Amino acid sequence: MSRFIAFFTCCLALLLPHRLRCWFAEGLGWLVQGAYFMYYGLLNRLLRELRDGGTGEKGRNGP
Amino acid sequence: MTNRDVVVLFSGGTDSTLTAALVQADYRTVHLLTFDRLGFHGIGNTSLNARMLAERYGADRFRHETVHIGRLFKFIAYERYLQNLRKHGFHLLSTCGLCKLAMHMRTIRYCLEHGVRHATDGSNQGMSIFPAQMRPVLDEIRRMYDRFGIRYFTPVYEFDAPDEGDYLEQANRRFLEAGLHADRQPVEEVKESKRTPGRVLYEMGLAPAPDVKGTPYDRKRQARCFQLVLFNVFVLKWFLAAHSYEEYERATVRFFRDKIRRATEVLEANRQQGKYEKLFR
Repeated sequence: MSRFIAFFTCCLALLLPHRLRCWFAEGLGWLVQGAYFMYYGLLNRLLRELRDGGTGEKGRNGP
Repeated sequence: MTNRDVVVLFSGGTDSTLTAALVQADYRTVHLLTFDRLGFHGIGNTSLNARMLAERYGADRFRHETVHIGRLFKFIAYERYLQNLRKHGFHLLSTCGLCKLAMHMRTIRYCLEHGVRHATDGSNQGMSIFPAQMRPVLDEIRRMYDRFGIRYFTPVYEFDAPDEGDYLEQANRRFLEAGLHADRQPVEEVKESKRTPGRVLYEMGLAPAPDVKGTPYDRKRQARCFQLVLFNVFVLKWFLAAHSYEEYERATVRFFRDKIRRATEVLEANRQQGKYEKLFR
């Protein structure tokens, strides 16, 4: 499945002229960057909960 | 004309900063050359490490300059497009390698303009997925420099790669260890002492920790480009999903051999007949 998506993405990129390809690649880059931020945001929250649970303290966001 | 000057392709990151710090011992003036084009962010960040080097080794010994490669990059990526598409297929999306090739072309032009006979960069074996850091491609690039009487060398190439595993894996490990064991000493202190560019930079007193690569400290000191995601999609999700690394390297070398040959022709025509001048502005 991921190879199919990659194939489609590459085909699309190959058809684009220079400036559009740059913007397309830029958009992809920010999309991935956004996914990283969400992933680390969630991980951060989980870790905080784990730490707080381990020490018996209350979490910042709830009882 | 002097043999006591050297040009460093300078992104402000760990590898190019270490390269500049190492070669300054053998040269009178170090030209730090930073490149800009559509899609590059934080070019101004590179001045932080450039200033640090100047403060440490002498302000009169470092010249930091930013040059544009937008037109060169476009040219080298799209020249003889259909012919290359038929021959090399998706390798036309090796944007990171083509961008680096445009940087090398601009560096050669800079060297010819300023009479500099030596050029170097922070290429490292650990990043061999990037075309311009593969040994056979580097050999081709070296030959291209030779054609113009310039010696190109890579002093940090043989240094150890920073870490095993991909970027996400490393970032996860760093994040988890720092998060769960906040009371322990920093991760960097307990890691085995591989001779990475980051460690050497730390030992030279030019970095706060031995493994700053990929950290916020490092990111705030170098230019960034998010367009590499497209290159990653092509290489990791398409090509390497069905082929071995050796096959990838062979196809990449074949593609870049053609591109470097064309780059050399353009540089020759520019030097001898003043052609393609627009590309270098």
